[in-house]
Amino acid sequence: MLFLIAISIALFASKLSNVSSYSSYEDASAKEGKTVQLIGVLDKSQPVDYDPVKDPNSFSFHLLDRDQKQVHVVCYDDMPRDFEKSDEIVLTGKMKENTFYADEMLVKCPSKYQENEITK
Amino acid sequence: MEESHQHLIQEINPIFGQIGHIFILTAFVTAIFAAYMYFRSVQTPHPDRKVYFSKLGRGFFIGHAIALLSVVVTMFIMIFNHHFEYHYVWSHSSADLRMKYILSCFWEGQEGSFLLWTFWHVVLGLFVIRLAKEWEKPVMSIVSLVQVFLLTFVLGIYFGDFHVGSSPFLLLKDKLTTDPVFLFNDYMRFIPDGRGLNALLQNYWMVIHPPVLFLGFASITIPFAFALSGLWLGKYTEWIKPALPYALFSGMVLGTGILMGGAWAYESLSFGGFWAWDPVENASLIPWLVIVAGLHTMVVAKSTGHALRSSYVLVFLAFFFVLYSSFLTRSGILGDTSVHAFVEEGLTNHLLIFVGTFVLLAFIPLFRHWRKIPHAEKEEPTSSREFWMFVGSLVLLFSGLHVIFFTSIPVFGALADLVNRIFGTSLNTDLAPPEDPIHFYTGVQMWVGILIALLSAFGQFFKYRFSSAKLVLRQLAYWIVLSVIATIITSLLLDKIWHTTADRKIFHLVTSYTIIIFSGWFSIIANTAYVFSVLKGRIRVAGGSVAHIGFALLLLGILISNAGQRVISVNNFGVQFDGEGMDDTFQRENVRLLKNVPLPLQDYQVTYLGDTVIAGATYFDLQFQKFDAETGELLQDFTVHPYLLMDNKMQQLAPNPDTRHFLTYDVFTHVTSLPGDGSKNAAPQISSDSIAVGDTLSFDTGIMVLREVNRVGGKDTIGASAIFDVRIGRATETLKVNYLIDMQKGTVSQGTTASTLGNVQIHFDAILTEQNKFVFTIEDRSLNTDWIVIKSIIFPMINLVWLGVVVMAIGFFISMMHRRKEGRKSIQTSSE
Repeated sequence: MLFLIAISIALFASKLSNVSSYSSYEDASAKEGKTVQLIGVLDKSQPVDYDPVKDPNSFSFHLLDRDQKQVHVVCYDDMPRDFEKSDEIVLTGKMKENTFYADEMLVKCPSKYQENEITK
Repeated sequence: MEESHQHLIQEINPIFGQIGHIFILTAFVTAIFAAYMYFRSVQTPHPDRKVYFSKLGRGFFIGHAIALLSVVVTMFIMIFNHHFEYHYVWSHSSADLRMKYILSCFWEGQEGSFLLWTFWHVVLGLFVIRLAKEWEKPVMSIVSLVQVFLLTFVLGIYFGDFHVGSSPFLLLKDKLTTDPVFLFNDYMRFIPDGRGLNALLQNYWMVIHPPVLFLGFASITIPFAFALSGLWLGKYTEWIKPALPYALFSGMVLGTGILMGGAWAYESLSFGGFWAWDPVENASLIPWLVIVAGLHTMVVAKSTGHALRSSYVLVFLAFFFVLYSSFLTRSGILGDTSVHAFVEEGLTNHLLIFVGTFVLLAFIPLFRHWRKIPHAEKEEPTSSREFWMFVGSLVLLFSGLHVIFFTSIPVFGALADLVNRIFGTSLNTDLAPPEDPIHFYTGVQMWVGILIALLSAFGQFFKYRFSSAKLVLRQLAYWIVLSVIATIITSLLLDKIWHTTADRKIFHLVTSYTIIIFSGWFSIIANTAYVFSVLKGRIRVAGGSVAHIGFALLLLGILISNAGQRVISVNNFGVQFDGEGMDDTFQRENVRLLKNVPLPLQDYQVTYLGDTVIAGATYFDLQFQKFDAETGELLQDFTVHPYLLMDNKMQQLAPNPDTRHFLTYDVFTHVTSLPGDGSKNAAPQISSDSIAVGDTLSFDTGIMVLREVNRVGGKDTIGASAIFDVRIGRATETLKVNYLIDMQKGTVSQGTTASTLGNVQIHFDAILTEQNKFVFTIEDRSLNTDWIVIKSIIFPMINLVWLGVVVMAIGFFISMMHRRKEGRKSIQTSSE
C-alpha cells in the first residue's frame, strides 16, 4: 500500500514540472527556440492574412501581448471561424527572430452571456 | 416559417414570470420544510412521532416536486410561445427555432441547468421514498437539504444591490434596465425576436447529453446521502447494501452521459475527436472515476468488512467533486483555459458557500466517527480479491486526482492571488495548464487504462480472503497465452491499415501500443472466461465482468482510433512548403477543392460538387470515391455533406462536420474555409426598391416576383400582406411579408421574412398609396462557393469506443439489478 502511494507521489512530482506559465513577448524572445504559451489579444489595427488560395494551412496576424507589445504571429493551420471577433488568444509555439510560430491556438470568443445590448 | 416572424405588437405578459417565481419560492420553502421534517423524524426517539414527522416530510417533498414540475412547465410554455419579454427566453431561443431544439433552450443557460439538476433530484427522491424503507428519513432529509441549496441559485431575490440567485423568470426589462428601448411602454415592438440558440447546440446530441449527464451528477447525491445517513444513525455498515444499486446507477448514467458529450464533440465540432481533455470535460470525468472507485470498495466492504472507511471517503469525495466541477464550470475561474468557460458574475462566492457547506457537513462527522467505524485490524492479504479491488480503486482515485489537480491550475492561480492580497506576498499567479493537454493527460492516463484493464482481468479470479496465487496463475495461464496471440494478430493487422500514423507523438514506443492491446485483449478474454467457467454462464450475476469487457473495448477503441487516425487531406499540392519556423511535426492538413475538380487525397478521389441551402444551412456536397489500385474498379462511392449553419441572425457561421460511418472506420470531413470568408464575413448585399404588383426584385442568386398584395386588418389594425414568388436556382417558394398599422396605439409593424432556399431576407418598409407602390428591402447573404477548403480524417475502429460504452452501461445495469435484488432481501430480513 505504502509502496503504491510512494510511486504515485513520484509520478506526480515528475509531472509538476509541467505547470507552465503564460509568456509575454519578452519571455518568449528570451526563450527563443523553446515551446512556450503566448497569451494576448488580436491587434485589430493590423490585417489578418489568410489566403487559402495560396496556402490553406497558414495565416498570420499581429498579437498584443500582456505588456501591450505587438507580436507578429504565423500560425500553421487553417484560420478559425470568427477569428476577428476573438476575445483572447493563447498560442503554443516558438519564437524565431521576431516572429512567433504557433502550431496550436486556443481562441476565446466573446461570451454569449454578455447581455448588455439588445441587438436588432 | 413566415407566421412566426410576424409578431403583432407583442404583448408583455408578466403573469408567467409572476407565477413561475411563486412556484420557485414554493419549491424552495417546501424543500426547507421537507428537510426539517425528515430531520425531526430521525432525531425523535418516539416511534409514532417518527411516523408523523416522516409523513409530513414526505408530504412536503411531494409538494416540492409538484412546485418544481410547475416551474419547468411554465418555462416551457414561455419558450414555446416565444415570450421574448422574458430575459431567459430572449437570450436562449428565437422564433424560427426548430421544435426539436426547444429542449436544448431549456438548459443552455445557468438557471435552466440548475433546474435540470433539481428536477432529477426530485425524480430520484421519489424512487428513494418508494424503495428505501427506513433509510428514507435520513436520506431524504439530506437530499432535501441539497435541493434547498440548489434552489438558492435560481431564487432571484434582491436586497438592493445584492442578490441571491438568478431567476429565469425575470423580464428582459428587469435584467437590462438601462437599455433605452425600455423607455417606451410598448418596447416589445423593437424586440421581435430572441437571440436564439447557439448554433453549436442545435444538434440532437445536445438534446440528450445534458439531461443524461445531469441525471448522472444528481444520482451521486443518493449514495452520498446514504453514507452520511450511515454516520448519522450510527449504522456504519448497513447503508452499503441499499446504496450500492444507486452507486451503480450513477456509474452507468454518468459514464454514458460523459461519452454522449464526446459523441457530440465528434459529430458537431471540427476538432476531430471525442475528447480534448478540456477542463470542463475533465471536471465531469472525475466524479465518475471516484464513484466507480467507491462502488468497488463498497462491494469489498459488503463482503469482507475491509475498506469501509475508504467507502465513506470515496463516496463523499465523489459528491464533493460533482459540486467542485459545478464550481469550476460556472464560476468563470477557468477563464483562459477552456473554450467552454461560462462567465457569470457573482456566482463564485455563492458556489463556494455551496461546496464548502457540504464539505463540512460530510467530513466533520466522518472525522468524529472515524474510530468507531468498523475496520479490520490487519491489512488485506495480498492474495485476495479485496486487496486487488482496493488497488483498483486506488488507481481510479489517483487517476481522478491527477486530472483534477492539473485542471485546477487556474484555481491555484486565483488562490495565489488571494494569498498575495491578504498577506502581501508575491507568489506567481500566472500559472498556465500543461501546454499540450492531450499529450499530457494521455501520457499518464494511458497507464491508468492499462492498469485497470489488467486488474479487472485477473482480480475476479481471486476469492475473498484468500486464494493461492499459484492456482490463480494456473487458471489464467490459458487466457494469458490466448491474449498474447490475439495481441500479435491485432498488431500485425493494425500495422497494415495504419500506414503512416499521424500522431506518433502520443505513444513514443511501439511497446506502449502493444501493452495496451494486450491489456485490452486480456481483460476481454479473462472476463469472458470468468463468466463461463466460474459463473457458469449466469449473466445475471456477471455485471462486473460485462462492464470490465466494455471498458476494455473502450480502451482499445481509444487507442486505435487515436493513434491510428490519418489525415487524408494532406496537402502536398503545389505550394512551396519551406515556411519558416516549421519542422516536420507541422502537418499541412487542409486542402482546397475547386468545384467539380477531383483531387486524389490518399485513399480517395474527392470532388467538390457544389452546395445546397436548406433552411438556413449551407450544405457542401463532397463525393468520395475509392478505386482499386490495380483494376481501377470503383470500390466505394459516397457523398458527405458538411455544413455551415447560419444562426438566425445570419451572423454566425458554425461549421459542422459530416462523418461517413463504416463498420471498421469513419471518414470525418469538415469545411475550414470559403471564398470571401477568409478574414471578413460575407458582406451582405442590401438593396431597397419601390415596386408595384407584378414587378421583379433580383438579388445575387435569384429573383422575387411580387405576385399580389392583399389588404389585411382587424378591429384596430390595418395593413397589407405582400406575396412573393421566389426562385433561387431551380427551386421556388412563396413568401409572405406583412405591413401592419395599429390604429389604436399608433404604431407600425414592418415585417421581415427569410427564405428557406437561400440566405435572403425581405423586409416590408412602406406603402406608397398614391403611386400604388410598395417599398421593400432585400438583404442577401448568399455565399460565394466556387471553392472550399476541407480537412478530412480517417478514424479507424472508432466504433469500438461506442460499443465499449454501451457494453459497459449494460454491465452496470446488470449489476445494479442484481444488487437491488440482494438489497431487497436484506431489508426484508433486517429489523428496524
